[in-house]
Amino acid sequence: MNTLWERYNMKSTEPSRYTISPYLVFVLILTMQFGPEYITMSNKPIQLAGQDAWISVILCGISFHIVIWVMYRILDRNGTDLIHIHERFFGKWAGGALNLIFIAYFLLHACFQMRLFIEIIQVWLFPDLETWALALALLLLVYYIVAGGFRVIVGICMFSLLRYFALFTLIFTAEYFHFSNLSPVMDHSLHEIIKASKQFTFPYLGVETLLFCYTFIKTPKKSQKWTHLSNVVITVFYLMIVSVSLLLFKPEQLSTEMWEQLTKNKFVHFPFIERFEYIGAASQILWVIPVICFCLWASSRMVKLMFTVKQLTVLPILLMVVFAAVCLIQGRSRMDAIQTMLSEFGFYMIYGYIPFLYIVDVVRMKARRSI
Amino acid sequence: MNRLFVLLLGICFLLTGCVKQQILEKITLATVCAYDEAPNDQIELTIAAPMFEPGKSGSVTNKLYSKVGYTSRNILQSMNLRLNRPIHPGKISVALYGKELAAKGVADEMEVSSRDAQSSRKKYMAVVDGKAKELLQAKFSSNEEKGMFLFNLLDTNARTGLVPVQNLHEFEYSYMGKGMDPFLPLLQLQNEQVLISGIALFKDDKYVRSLNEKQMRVMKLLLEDAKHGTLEAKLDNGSNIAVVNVGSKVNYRVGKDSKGPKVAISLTLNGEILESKGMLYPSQEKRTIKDRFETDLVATGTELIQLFKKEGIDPLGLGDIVRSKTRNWNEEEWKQKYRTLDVKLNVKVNFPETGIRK
Repeated sequence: MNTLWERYNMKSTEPSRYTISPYLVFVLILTMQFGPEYITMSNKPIQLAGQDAWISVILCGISFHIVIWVMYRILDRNGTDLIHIHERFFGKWAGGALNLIFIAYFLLHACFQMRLFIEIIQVWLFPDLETWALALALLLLVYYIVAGGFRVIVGICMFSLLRYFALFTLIFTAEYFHFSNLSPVMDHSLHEIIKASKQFTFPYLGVETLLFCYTFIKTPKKSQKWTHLSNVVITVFYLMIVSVSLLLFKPEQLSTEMWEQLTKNKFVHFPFIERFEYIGAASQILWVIPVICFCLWASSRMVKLMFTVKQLTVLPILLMVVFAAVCLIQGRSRMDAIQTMLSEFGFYMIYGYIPFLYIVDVVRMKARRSI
Repeated sequence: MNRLFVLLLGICFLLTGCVKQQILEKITLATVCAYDEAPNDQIELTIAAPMFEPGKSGSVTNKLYSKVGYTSRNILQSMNLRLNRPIHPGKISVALYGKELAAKGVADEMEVSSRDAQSSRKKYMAVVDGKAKELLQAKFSSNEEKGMFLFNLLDTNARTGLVPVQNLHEFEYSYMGKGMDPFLPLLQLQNEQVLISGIALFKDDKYVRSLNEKQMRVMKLLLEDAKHGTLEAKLDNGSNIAVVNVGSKVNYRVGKDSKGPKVAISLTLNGEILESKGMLYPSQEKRTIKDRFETDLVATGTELIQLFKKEGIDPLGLGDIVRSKTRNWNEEEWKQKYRTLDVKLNVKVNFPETGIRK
C-alpha cells in the first residue's frame, strides 16, 4: 500500500505541460492569501485587542502553519486534490454535494472580491461609475486569463508581485508614528487576543486553494516548504500593516475608518504625484484579479470534473453568474453581510473541516490496515 | 469567440471617455476656506478663489465668496450658482476657524474633510482671533495667492520655527484619543498683516483659551524634539542673550507613589549663543547664562502645566503617556486625578559652542 502512495507522490497526475514547479507554489499561495481583504483587516482586531493586536497576527499565522501541515498530510497520503478526495471519502453523491458547496464558496468569493474592487473605485475615484461597466471589463480580462489555463493564472500571480512596491509607501507615514501606542504590552486578556486572532483568519484565508491545485504541482511533496514560507512572509507583511495602523491611529480613530489601509495612502506625497491614494486605490486590481481568476478556474474545473463537460463551456456561464451577482450587490451593508458570511465559512473550513478531513483520513487508513 | 472578445475589449477602451472629467481650466481650485459662526446653528463658509489674469503671468488675485448655511457641502453647491467655474474642494490645504465657532466645537467641520475621499489628511488648520472671514478679506499677501500664503506661513513656521506641528490628522488623533487634547495655531490680523500669535487650546473639540508667543515656544520644546528656534533671556546685569536651539530632547518618565502616578519631564537643550548685548565675552559667563535660561524655562513650563491642570486640558498628552506605562488605565479615573497630578519639570541647558567668537 505504501508504495502506491509514494508513486502518487512522486509525480503529479496531470500532464507535465500543465504543471508548475514547486517553488511557484510560493508565489501562488502568497497571492491567494494576500487578498484585498488586507485593506480593512486591522480595524476589528484592534477594536478587540488594542495594542496587542500584533500578537493576534502571530498567533493566527502559527495556527495557519498547523493547518498547512494538516492539509499536506491529507493531500500527500491520497495523492490527489480535494475534488477526488471528497468522492473517495464520502461517495459520489455526498462528495458531489460537498464539491457543490465549494463551487458556491469560490463563486461568492469571486463576486465579493470584484464588488469590493468596484466599490473602492467608486468611492475613491469615480463615484458616478456604473458597476456593470467595470464588472464587464474585468470579467473579460478574467475570461482571457482563465481560458489560458492554470499556468497563465500562476503567471498573473507572478506579475501581481509588482504590488509590493505600493506597500513600500507605508514608509511615508513614519513621520506621524506614535510609539507609545504599542505599550503596555499584554494589557488585554488572552481571551480578547484570541478573539482578535479569529478576525484575522479572513485575511489569512487562501491556503485552501492548495486543495484544488495540488495535482498541478510537478512534485507536490516538495512544495510544502514553499507554502510554509509563503505563510511566514504573509505574517511579516500583516505584522507590518497592523503595526503601522497601531502607530498611526488611535483605536477610536480607526473605528471610524472604512478602509484604513487606503487612508494611509493619504500621507504619501511625491513631488510628481500630489495624491497617491488614486494610485493606491487603483493598484488594488493587482490584489483582486489573481484571486478572482483562481476562484473561477477552481469552480469551473470542479464543474468540469463533476458533470464531465468542457471547462471552456462552463466558464462563460459561471462568469455570467458572477456578473449578475456583482451587479445585484448594492451598498456597504450587503458587502458587510457577504464578508461575515465568507469569513465564517472560511473559519469553519480552516479550523473545522480540514482537521475533520484529516481525522476521517486517519480513521480510513487505520480501518484498512486492520482489514 | 475571439472576435467577440476583441470587439468587447475595444468597446471597454472607448468607454473610458464616458467618465466625468474635471479639467483644470474649468474648475475653481480653492486652497483656503474659512468657517465662521452664524445664527441658528448655521455656519458661514468663505472660500478664497484664486483668479488668474489672462496675459499677465504670475499675477494672482483672490475673490472671496461667502455664504451662510447648515452644511458646508450645500454651501459650496449654492456658491456654484454664482461662479463660472464650479468650486472643487479637493485642494483645500488650509482651514481657518473663527474663534466663536471654535468655542462651539470644530468636530463637525473636521468630519467633512475626514469623510471626503478627495480631501487631504495633512491639511493645516488654524483658529483665527476674531472672524475668519475678516482675516481672509484683508490684503495681507501682496503678490501671492492667499491660500498659498497661509499654507506656507503655517508650514514653514511649524517645520523650522516656533509653532508646534499640527494638522488635520494630528488634531483628530489627539481629539479622538484618550488622555489628550488637541491644539491649533492661533492667527491674528494686525494692521492688515497676518501673524501667528500663539496657540489655541482645545478641550475635546472646543476652543478654551490661548497661549501667547512665549508660552508657545516652551510648549513646542515640551511636545517634540526640535532643532530650530531661538530663545531669549535677560540677565540680572541688564544684558540680553539670544540663543539658537541646535537640538532639544524631551523625555517623559512616569513614576508611581502612594497617591497615584507622577510624571517627570526632563528637557535637555543644546544651544548656541548668537547674540549677547552688553556682554563682550559670553563664554566666560556661561554658568550664569545657563542658570538664567534654565530658571526661565522651568518657570514658563511649570506655569504652563499649572494652567493645563487648572483648565483640565491635556495638550501635552500626559494621560496618553501614563496610559502607555500603566496596566488597566482608566480614563474617568485619570480625569479625576489629573488636576492634582504631580508633574516635575527638569531643564538642562548646554552651550557647546558660542558662534565664531569667544
